[in-house]
Amino acid sequence: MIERAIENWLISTTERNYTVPFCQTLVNQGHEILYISTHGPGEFGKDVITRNNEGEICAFQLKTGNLTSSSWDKSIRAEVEKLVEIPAVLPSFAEPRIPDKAWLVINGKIANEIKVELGLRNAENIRRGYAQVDTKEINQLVKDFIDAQGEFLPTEPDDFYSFLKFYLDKGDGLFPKKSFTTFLDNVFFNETSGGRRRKREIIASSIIMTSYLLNAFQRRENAYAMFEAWVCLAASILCYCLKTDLGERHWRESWRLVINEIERHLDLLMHETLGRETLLEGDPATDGGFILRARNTMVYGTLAAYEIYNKCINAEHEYNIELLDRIKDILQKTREDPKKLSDFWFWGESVLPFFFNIIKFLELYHENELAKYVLYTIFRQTIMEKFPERVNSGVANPYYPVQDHIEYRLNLDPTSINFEQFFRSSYMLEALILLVTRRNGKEFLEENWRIISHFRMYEFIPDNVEDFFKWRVIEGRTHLKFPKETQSWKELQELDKAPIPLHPLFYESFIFLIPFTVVYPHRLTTQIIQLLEHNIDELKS
Amino acid sequence: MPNFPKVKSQLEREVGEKLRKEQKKARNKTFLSHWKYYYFSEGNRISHKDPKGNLIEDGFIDISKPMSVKTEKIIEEGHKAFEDVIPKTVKEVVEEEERITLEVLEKVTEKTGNIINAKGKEFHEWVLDTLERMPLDFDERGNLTSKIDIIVSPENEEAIKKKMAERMTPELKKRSEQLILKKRKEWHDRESNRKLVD
Repeated sequence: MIERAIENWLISTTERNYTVPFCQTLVNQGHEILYISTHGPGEFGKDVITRNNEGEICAFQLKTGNLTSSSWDKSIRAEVEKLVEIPAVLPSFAEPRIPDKAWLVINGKIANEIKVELGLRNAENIRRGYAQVDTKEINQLVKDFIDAQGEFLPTEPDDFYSFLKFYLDKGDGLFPKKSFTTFLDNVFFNETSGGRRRKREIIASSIIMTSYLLNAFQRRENAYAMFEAWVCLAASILCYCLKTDLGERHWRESWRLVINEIERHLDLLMHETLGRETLLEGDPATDGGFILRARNTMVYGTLAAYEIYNKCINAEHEYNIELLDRIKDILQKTREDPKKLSDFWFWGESVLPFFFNIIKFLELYHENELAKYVLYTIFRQTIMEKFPERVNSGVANPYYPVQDHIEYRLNLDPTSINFEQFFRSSYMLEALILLVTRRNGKEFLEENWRIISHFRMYEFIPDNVEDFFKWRVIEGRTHLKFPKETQSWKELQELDKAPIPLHPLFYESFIFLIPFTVVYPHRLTTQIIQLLEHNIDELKS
Repeated sequence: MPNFPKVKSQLEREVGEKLRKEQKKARNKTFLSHWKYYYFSEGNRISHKDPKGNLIEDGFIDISKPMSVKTEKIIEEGHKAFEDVIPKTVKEVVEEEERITLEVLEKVTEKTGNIINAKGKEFHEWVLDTLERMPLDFDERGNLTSKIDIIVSPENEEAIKKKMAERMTPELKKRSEQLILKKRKEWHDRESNRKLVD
């Protein structure tokens, strides 16, 4: 049944969506992925370039649907010529290289006359010193994917039900992170025994399965959900490799494929967002208001994070001015008229990653006053009563996602959140105090210290460091502390400058922490914020 | 077998909602009504540091009671059979919560030495002795905001209520007025110390 699901997905998806699982099958066959095309047509006909385990350079062109004479004549023939004739230029090549082997890969069938022509062309290619073009059609692809999937299939009824739920989802909503990470653990990552080969197979298999589990979200072009899904998979893989002590060289290739998908979907999200005047979505009769404000906050916060991420991996990256202007416009609107509801929304502590990234993005552009305005606004909202008309209500902790808040506000499920339990308690207050300290906000803290000192500050600490990358953890403690009643400003400044007590793992993976904490907001702890702050601030210089 | 999961999931939500309402109602009749409930989404322990900087960890205590219904009743009444046993089960759970809370309080007060021997003392006198040891909170207008619970065994409830209703002696009344003044000042000093300094 799963095989039919794979086939059904492969037939209906696009080459963009089957690229990564296809690359995973190549990794399984010993290839090292050198290049995956991310923007439009591949580089001179090459969507994927690899080095196989014999050191040969292999180039692949991926296509969607059946290849007919019409499309062959129109464009594909020319692209296949480029595939074999035009050398590839990659940083890892000392000089441009024509491929040693080439494939035309298609998730449909190739018409016979084209195969005949290819056979004749191949003879000529070999005579001229070029690679011959081999083909891979739907049947071979399905077989490769099923082989790569291996024995790692849902067998328990609950997991099978989850598989069907994901596959048959409408695909237009937020990604179900909790059930997805549980599914990944149950089917793949709870198995920690076995040698390195088995562990590599587990990781490979999880990537293949994730690709077609996301079928519904791909069809709806739900870039945000896809981004979240791939981050969840990346986090699960990281947790698994750390837990099983699998050396990096055994999972590096697979990891890069997942990161590639994260980046690709953020690119799509950026492109879609900047191409629209508003972010109204679906039926306007049931959109707007809190729903639109939530979407604005999530999308612009995520894209701000992506800009920072891009700068961290590439110092030459040029920031997106249009994105900055959009964010500034929204914020200026509120500043000019504080009574007007902002187009952003501070719903609860799970919003912090979005605002943190907006603040950092503004600062990278030297929009420090606007960044400070955002920081002070969310600080005040954290420590004030959530609902002034109600006594003793606080801001929900980061374990309550935005959907719960929307349902509460729209009275769809008024019991979903008990705001009284959060009165004068916070998971993010300590981080906010240090953020303000770092920006010399002594006066602001002086004004508000009396209220701050009444708060209880919480932090969750998993027993095992790798569990930080899990969605929820049983083995761990929630640590409670209180701000000092009388606090020294100098001491706060020293705290900000002190070495951050974090496992080296976090320093090594800090770039991944940028998208990770957007998707897992409850993991944006005080120390992680400090780590990100310090590293991102280095970009300013 | 044919089944009706959509309907059942709605019924499950309703039974869950009724359970929560009953629990709140039952707790409101006890000293637990003044206690805040906090839900932890992950982890199996809570921790804090004591004044000496030592890490103190506590696990969670499982408080649960079985809720059992005869099969014949389910056949006869459907989901209502469970709704009928909710009040009784909730009462048992809340009584267990009270018992465990008092146990924990006893352990803590023994550890900190915050125990007063009321033997031979008048009721109002030992109440004042107790308040002497506690920090009390006030609002900006000087009104006492701390909620004070006196927890007694059911056998002593009537007797204590009678004692509470008795007038204080003039000396004790004066002492209580002075105590409020002292506690208000202490509160004011505490609040004044809540500041950021150089």
